[in-house]
Amino acid sequence: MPDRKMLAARVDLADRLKVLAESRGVTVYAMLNDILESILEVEEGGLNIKRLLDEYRAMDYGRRSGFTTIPENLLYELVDLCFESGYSDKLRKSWFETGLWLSKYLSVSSSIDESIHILSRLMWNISEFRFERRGGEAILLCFSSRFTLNYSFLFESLLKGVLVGLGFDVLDSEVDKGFIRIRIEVKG
Amino acid sequence: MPSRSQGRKLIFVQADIVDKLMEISNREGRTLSSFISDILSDVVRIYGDGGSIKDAVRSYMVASMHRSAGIMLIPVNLMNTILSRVDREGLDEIYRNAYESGYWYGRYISVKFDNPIEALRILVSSTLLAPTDISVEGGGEAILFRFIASNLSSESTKLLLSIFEGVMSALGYKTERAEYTRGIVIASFRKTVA
Repeated sequence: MPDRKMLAARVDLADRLKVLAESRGVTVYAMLNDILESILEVEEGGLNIKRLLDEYRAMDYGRRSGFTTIPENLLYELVDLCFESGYSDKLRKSWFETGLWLSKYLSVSSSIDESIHILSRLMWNISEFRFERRGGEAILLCFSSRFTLNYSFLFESLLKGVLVGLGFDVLDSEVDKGFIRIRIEVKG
Repeated sequence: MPSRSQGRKLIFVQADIVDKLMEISNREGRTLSSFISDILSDVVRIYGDGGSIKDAVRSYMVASMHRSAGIMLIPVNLMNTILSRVDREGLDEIYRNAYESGYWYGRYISVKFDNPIEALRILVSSTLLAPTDISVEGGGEAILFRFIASNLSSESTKLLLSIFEGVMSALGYKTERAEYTRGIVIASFRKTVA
């Protein structure tokens, strides 16, 4: 039998591990070794386990809340077609409403900051996504060199929906091609 | 059996694993206990939802591939809404461009992987993130592609089929049969003679 060492684990985690191990018909020792070996493999493979789990959690939210994949250039082309056909207001309304829905979905099991973080992970085509609290206000900044102007407006609507859904009041916003800045009031 | 100590439980772990994890936590300037607790809380949640670290690794790899190939995520309902606003002529052009995007993606995976069909099988399983039934069956001479996704509109279904046809064309397969209705696709492909 290999040498053993003792590890101090948080009580809640140790208890949850015990439940998981029992549900799979294995010992806590076997279950924990299996998990820790997998973590080692990830780290030794040059990946960061924390980042990997963080992304997986975001993807899981995406999976559960009905996201799909699309080539980025194709989406921008579609959006331009719709805007040229005079549907910009209708589309912005539907993106705002989807933002509202997403915020409600995310906030069921995540804090406000976690919800925004998950969203930023799902929007992986964005070069920079920042949410900065400054006293009674906060700023959401979003940069992407590939966004078209029309898509920037549309995405701003989605972000506003998310922020309003999370309980913020939007004070003002600024949109340019590939740039979105939304200033919000942080209550309490 | 775990034993209790000041809000923590002591549990046995294989010694060599602890030593290696200690090296990693030291490298990150953290105590082993905080490093393990931080990661375990995420891992336990994933396992509790029926996932595993292997699933997380696969998901990460697929997302990295998509990211570098210019594929992004969008809520399905928004894709349905946008496509519903495009007229017939516009849709035809979009489907053509979707085919071309798929063709490019097919070239991309044929360069990146020794076995592009196997890679496609893995990538396709995450194309539709919503609960869905999607499969790429066969290999060699003939491929059967099927998916069922009830939340896709007819236009979105056709868009995804066009992308897939483009991918298969780039991998050297011609479309033999491509049938679709709202949320359902059945398509078969045969290897073209080189």
